[in-house]
Amino acid sequence: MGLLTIIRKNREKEKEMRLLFLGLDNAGKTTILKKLNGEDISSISPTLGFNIKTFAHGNYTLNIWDVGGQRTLRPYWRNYFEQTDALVWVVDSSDRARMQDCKQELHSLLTEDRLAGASLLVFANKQDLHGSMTDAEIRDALDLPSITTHRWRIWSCSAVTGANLVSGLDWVVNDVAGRLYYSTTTSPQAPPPPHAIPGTAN
Amino acid sequence: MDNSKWTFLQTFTPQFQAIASAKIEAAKLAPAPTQESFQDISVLLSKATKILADATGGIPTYDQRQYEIQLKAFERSIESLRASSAPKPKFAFKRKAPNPGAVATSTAQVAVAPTPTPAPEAPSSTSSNLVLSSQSHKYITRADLAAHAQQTDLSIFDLEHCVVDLLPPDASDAPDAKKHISISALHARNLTDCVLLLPTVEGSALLHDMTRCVIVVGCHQFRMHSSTKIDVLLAISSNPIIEDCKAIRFAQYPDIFKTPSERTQTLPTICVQDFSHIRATPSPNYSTMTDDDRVGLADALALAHRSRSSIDELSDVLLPK
Repeated sequence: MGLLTIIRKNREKEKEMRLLFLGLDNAGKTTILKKLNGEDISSISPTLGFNIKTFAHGNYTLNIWDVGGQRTLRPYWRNYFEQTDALVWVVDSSDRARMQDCKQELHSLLTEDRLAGASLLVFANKQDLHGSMTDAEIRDALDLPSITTHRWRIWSCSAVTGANLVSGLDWVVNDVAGRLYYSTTTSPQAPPPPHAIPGTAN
Repeated sequence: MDNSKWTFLQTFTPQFQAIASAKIEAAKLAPAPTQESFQDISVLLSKATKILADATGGIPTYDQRQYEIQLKAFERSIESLRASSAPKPKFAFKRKAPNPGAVATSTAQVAVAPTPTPAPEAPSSTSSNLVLSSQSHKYITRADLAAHAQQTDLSIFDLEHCVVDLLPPDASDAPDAKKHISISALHARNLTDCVLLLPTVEGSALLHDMTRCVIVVGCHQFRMHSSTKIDVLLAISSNPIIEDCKAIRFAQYPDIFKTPSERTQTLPTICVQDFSHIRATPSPNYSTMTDDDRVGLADALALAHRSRSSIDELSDVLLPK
């Protein structure tokens, strides 16, 4: 049995995934996490340092790392890249003035070796605000179509109302699962071809 | 043992090649690959990878390596196909454009075909927010704002020597529906010698590059960057933060500007975090205003609010240059 097989089998047992939440300050990273976890979101202070949340999502245990986005903290993001299965990039959709900044930070992250292969979910947060940009506008502002190194998806959501948070997470978890645990995923749009060979049991 | 290996090899080799050639055909025959066909191919590819991984030890090393090389080649060709089809939306649009003229008979198809294309484009032009920018020496009130939804997020850019007074005309009056404005988020950048008198913002306030300003606001979260000489009168329940700031003074939001319901709420003492000074020692970049200063400032602002004083009359409330 090859080393890769051993590693995969091992991770399959754990069924764990590591998700990294990054984005500029004021994007709503912590609020999304707390909302997903059913916690109170009314008294969240800007994150000084990082938060870790672990919760079950479907068949998987998600380890979510939420690192503060203040400019002072961004140089420390690199300390969290290791073993990241998916990057969740959170955008404040009402922050038109800093879209350029947001784009640069995102694209520089995507050149990181240690994030190579990670799935990318872009949360266009704060869609509950009336003047916020649409997901299509943000897709273009961040130049997402130019990304070829990562599988990406943009998801409009609102941390305050909770809209689309779970479905976004579903996509990224399934995408990672398809990569790491493909032997166990049952993706609806891909039934096993009739000529598939059953895996050799050992 | 040998026997089982042999039978496996016999079944695996032709079937693996069947999958592989099916994949080649799928990749080569599709002239305009869609997202779905990519998905199908990637699923096939991962299936084949898995089969090959499971077959490790069951097939000769040489064959294994050959199959791996083949898989790598497929992966590359899929990648290049994916890359070449990236500007797909534009391409599809161009191809469909001559359709209505050329094929006059298939009206039903023509009617259906263009709808999906403009769909992603349409919303991009519609969203807009309330912006207040590029003014000087003005007293700006709600009446000066552009038409906006009752609930909106507000961006303020490039003002100097301005008073921005978006408080209800009299705080003790119940504001009628027309005058009512509910700000859901505040973004401010590049304000100099300005006074901001704002009601409670439901979301967060984010401020950049401010110099010599007085900011009166209630909000859920408060962040200020790259600013100097600012007095902040704040109603907040979380911790306000500053980054790359100097000479900032904080105090509670004046009671006189609060709505009756806000007056009954008690807020915790303001606990500022300075991200440019993450140490045990207190930050030199901000302080808490003394009670005398706070009361004096609140009175001056209340007077200004009542009489619509210009910034020149208010210049003594701004921190000295």
